[in-house]
Amino acid sequence: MSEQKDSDLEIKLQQRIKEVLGKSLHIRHVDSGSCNACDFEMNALSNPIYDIQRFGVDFVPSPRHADMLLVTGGVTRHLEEAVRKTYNAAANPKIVLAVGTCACGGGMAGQTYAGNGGVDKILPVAVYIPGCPPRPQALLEGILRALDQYEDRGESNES
Amino acid sequence: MRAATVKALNLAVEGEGNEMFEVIRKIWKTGVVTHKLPLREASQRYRGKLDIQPHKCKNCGACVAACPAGAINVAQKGQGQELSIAYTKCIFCGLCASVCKVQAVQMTNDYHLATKNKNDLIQVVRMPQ
Ligand code: SF4
Ligand code: SF4
Ligand code: SF4
Repeated sequence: MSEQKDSDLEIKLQQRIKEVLGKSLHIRHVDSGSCNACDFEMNALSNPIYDIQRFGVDFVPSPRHADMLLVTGGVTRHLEEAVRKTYNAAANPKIVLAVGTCACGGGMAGQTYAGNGGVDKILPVAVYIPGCPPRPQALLEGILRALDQYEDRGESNES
Repeated sequence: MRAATVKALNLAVEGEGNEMFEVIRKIWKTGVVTHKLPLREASQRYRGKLDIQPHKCKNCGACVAACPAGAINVAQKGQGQELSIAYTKCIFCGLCASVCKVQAVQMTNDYHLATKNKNDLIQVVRMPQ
């Protein structure tokens, strides 16, 4: 992609966030048993190179503050409850993104006695971002896709 | 860069003009060092979406056997066969591409895989007879 498209996307994302949320997008990262590679790619989003804060996107330390949950890992048996609780703690309208192949459908481990094999078995997932791990750009693309349907999700969540 | 600016200000307060200009000149020369988000293509070595060319495939099954995640499947569909790749399982290791002798499976640097519909994550290719 060219520089032009870069800044186009930048403007598009900023406008969209303003439109749907009014202010900025707050993300809570949930680790549901990932190998941590996905988590590192997510961390890279807020470094000076990818600098996701300039779009008005921030990572928050509590699901109470979050509009969006980025879930990594295939939801192991031990973390299933934590994932559920985190989802319930997030304020409406909330939106869940499955980050990484594990979160999309189990990945290497698949569905086993100890793992659910995907976030969508537990929570309603809005956008799937495969990759092992997905690049930060792919994450950004996923976030943009999720914002696309934010209003619809809000209505269905409140009912 | 910020530290340099602070130093320049301190020097200005202390009245050491010459050194201050030196520091400012240095900042000027360095310019902006931050990069914009490189949302352009991934490097050529990046292992992204698979590219399958069915007309090249010899149907040997080596890729299916090599896949550590069990992401590739070959199924009989009517007269022909279908090769499907599940990105819900694929870990982008590139083993399938390396075992295929005729290069019918290749890794591309395409990372645009994010989707709202889970069915999009299954890539199906029909093999010609
Ligand atoms: S998708 Fe890959 S990188 Fe991400 S948590 Fe699973 S194994 Fe790790
Ligand atoms: S890249 Fe690896 S995991 Fe993906 S289909 Fe090929 S062999 Fe399987
Ligand atoms: S893609 Fe290559 S390795 Fe796989 S069945 Fe066809 S010829 Fe064999």
